[in-house]
Amino acid sequence: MQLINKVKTLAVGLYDEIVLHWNKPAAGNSIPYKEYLNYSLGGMGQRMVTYLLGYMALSATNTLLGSTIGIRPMHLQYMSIIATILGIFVAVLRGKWVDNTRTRFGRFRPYIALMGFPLVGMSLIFLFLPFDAMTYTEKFMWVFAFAVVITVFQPLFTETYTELASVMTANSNERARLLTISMLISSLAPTIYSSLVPLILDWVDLTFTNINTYRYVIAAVAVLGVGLNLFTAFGCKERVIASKSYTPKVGVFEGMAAAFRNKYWWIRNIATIIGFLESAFLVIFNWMYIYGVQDMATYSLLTLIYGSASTIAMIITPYLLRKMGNRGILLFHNITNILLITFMLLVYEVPLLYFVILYANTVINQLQLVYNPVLNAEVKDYQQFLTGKRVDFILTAAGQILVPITLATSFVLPFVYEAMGLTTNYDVLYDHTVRGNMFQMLCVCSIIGATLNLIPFFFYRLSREQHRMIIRVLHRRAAFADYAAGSITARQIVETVDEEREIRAIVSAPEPDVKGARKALWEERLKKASTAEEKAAKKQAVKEAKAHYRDMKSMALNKEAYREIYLKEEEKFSTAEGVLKLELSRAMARYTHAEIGSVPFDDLGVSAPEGEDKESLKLRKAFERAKKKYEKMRAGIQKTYADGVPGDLEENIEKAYAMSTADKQKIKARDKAIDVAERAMLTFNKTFSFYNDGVEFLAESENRVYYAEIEARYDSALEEIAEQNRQDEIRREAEKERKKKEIEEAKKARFESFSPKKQARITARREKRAAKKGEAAAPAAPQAAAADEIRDEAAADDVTEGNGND
Amino acid sequence: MIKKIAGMILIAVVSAAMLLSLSGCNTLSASEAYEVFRAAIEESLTGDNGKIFYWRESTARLRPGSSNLVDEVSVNVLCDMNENYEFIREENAGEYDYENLKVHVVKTHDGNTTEEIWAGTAGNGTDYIVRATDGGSRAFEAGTAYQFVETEEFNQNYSLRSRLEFLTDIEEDDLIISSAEQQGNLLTITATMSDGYLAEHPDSDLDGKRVVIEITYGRIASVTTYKDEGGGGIFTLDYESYMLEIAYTGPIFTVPNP
Repeated sequence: MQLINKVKTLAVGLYDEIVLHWNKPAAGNSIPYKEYLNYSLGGMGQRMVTYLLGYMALSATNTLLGSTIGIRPMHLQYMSIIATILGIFVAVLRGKWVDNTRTRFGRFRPYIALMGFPLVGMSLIFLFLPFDAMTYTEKFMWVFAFAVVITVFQPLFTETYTELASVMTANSNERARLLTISMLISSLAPTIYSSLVPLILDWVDLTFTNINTYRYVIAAVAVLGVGLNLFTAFGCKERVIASKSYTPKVGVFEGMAAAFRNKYWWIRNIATIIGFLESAFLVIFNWMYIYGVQDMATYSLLTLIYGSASTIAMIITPYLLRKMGNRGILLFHNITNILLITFMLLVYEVPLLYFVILYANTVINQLQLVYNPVLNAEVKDYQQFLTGKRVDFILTAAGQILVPITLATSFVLPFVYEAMGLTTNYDVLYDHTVRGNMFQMLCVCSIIGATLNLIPFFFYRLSREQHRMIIRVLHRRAAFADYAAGSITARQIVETVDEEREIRAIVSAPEPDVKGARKALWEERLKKASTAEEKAAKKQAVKEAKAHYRDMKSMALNKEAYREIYLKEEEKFSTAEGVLKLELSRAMARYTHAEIGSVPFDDLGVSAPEGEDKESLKLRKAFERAKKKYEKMRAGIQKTYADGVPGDLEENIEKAYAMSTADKQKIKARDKAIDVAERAMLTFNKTFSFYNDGVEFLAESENRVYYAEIEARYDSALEEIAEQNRQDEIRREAEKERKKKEIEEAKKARFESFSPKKQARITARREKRAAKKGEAAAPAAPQAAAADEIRDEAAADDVTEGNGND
Repeated sequence: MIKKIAGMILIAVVSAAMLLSLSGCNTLSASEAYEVFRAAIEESLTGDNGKIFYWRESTARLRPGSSNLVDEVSVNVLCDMNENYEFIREENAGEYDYENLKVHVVKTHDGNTTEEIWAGTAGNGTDYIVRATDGGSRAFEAGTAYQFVETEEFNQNYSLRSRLEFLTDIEEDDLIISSAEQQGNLLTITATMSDGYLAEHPDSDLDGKRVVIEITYGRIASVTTYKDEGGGGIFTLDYESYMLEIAYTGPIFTVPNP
């Protein structure tokens, strides 16, 4: 009963909130709830349109281009390669088009409104081509022309929708809320059409190998989708988010060079590349039902059920991540994947059993929906730990260097399809001999791919504890730099000291006996217990032994993290290379940016290390490399800043950001000024990067002495934070009261907008209810009272006497 | 670290190579290819292969400035299958001892269906041979699929044997094989017909720039004759003047009710 009341209260509160802010957003927000709905409806439209556009994808598993029209797998792959390469060039142009689009509707909404029409229109023209009367060459050419154009221009439709969220609000929390809600609502679309379409096909006696399926059924879904997009196009607003501040940019090549030093980046990318065969089995389910079972009603039901696999994965992933840690979940995912695909190989002859295994496999595979962003964020943090730079976007872009390998390996599966007898006649899949052999081979390929995918993860050592240690180190660096600059906050002080104390606790803890703890746990587990008391005692003992084992493991990982991360951070200034780098940095720091270009390396006073042993030779090599980089920097300074180094670059950026955005012309001028100023800054940073890195390294080394001073301010920082929290609480209470008042006033206004008759009816109902409950009793909870009010208004509307403005 | 990365890439390359070699890529000599070709014709007509099948034959004539004229015939002979997709056999039902045997023939001209024939048990449990021509109404006559497959009409026009007959005449000297590539279960033979053969068979569907024969699992999968559009030159495109595609099971269909 309590639960029902709680749910009721929540629902009513939500209703009030939505009604109140349907047209006007709440204070601090930019988006009214009407726009949430419009954006979500557009999301449904996007998915419905891409449902059709997905059938223009250049893959043998595409039932339109492959099974229906009959293009060979290898030919589809050739077209796909060309489309990929063209796509890279067009992506640059696309970015420029969108960035330079200035209309009164904004930058993205015109594309959302308009691009659906030509894309769906082109698809419809394509679908109604007379393929029956065409030769293979003619089909090939038409498929190539349409598929490539649609594939290349589709992102103008889909990416602009995604980007729109970033200009609907500047508030990142609100944006996250918008994306979450719209994803929940828009995901209804694929659930509905994926399960309805096969049922419709069954009813009208069509199949996925019949062109009319795409012409009349799937196209209809897409046309509806184009309509739904208009909700977003006309129902959402772009609010010009003029960034207020400059974010230092990193040069592309500099960033990529930094990314290539990140072993975890390599491991994750290589695992993806060498696991290219892993997804070979994904086509089996569709082909099994289209060509084998040929029962669209069952296919529809199973597709509906299949969609729930991702939801289960999203729910269980956080728990698994906590229990297993990063490496654990990667290994668990990949090993379970191998096992399940092996089961598939054994049961592919039995469709329902195959589906059960496939479902389980999908749950496992979809774990990465949640853990991938987590692990990717940790890899980015590791990048910052290694190089001191944040290169998030470039980490993704650097992956493009591996595209040629991906393109080469993408020929393997089409080769396998053809080797199994699938060329232009996809009807051979109706033959059990061909289909069975194909499925077997695809399962074997997937097992090989999954195994290859697994191998790199045995080298993945970025545990949760290591990541935590990286964060501590990054916080420490930032705190020391901010302390030196006089801008350290109370929270930073408390955080730095707390984390330092955690580290000291880890260092001073005795070496954990993990083996001993594991042995003790097993001993407790294997102890015999016959009576109820013995069993209870055993249960308690096992629980304690488990907790002790967990603690030992955790401490072992923490100590490893300390050695791998913290010690390396501490020792980087005291290694031979670190000492050399410090010496060079100190020498450079004696000069300003304007002076360093005219100082030859030999005048810095840093001499080459002596000695003939291995370490000295290594050091001398590092010395020569540094000398080369220094001279290269000098040459760059003399070339770029022959007339002198400008001193007002940061000021120019600030001025540019402060320019007016009052109208289109001013926005254009501001954007241009920002571009020029940022480019100048980027050139400056690139030219002086060796000098800047050296000066930063020196500052980092010198700032470490501040810990004692920071620790001395710990207690006063705690008091400051307590006071801040108190003030925040007061502000929150005030906001709550203000909102309550706002709701009350809105209700009052709503009540006064009703006709006198309706007002009277509502009042009468309220009095009746009050009389029933008794005014003397405790006043109704505000939310329950609100529920009563809604009922009163609805009941007042039901009364038929007097039409009009009720 | 770099060694480890290089090792991983090597594993990938070696594995891909192993997989490709598993698929078996090699070239056959002309005589080997011809032997396989003859055996494939035999195999295609042996046992279930020659009785349960789905073939599609199309001939195309180019019309410059207009859509091509394509005539297509497809024949689907099917029966009931168990959950292991094995054909269920009846006792004492003649040569075609398959349960619920049915036949579907479709002829199209220029994309329009000109004739359609069904034979088998309809939804109401009665056996019919149904004919429809040029989009007109359907004519139902009593008859079973078993009877239909034994008629001369079926044996001369729709059986797989009738389709592959023109291949049985081909001697080794008639088929000038330019390449024979084995890729896993797929053998692709590219050849031209000799002048002597074409002189003896002036209306042969195999008269063209080249003939490509695909053999999968030891059976004929397709025969395609390519001609070129114009008189040659770098912008000339080949087109399939004749194509025969065979699958040894077809899609499920139902015989219509009256």
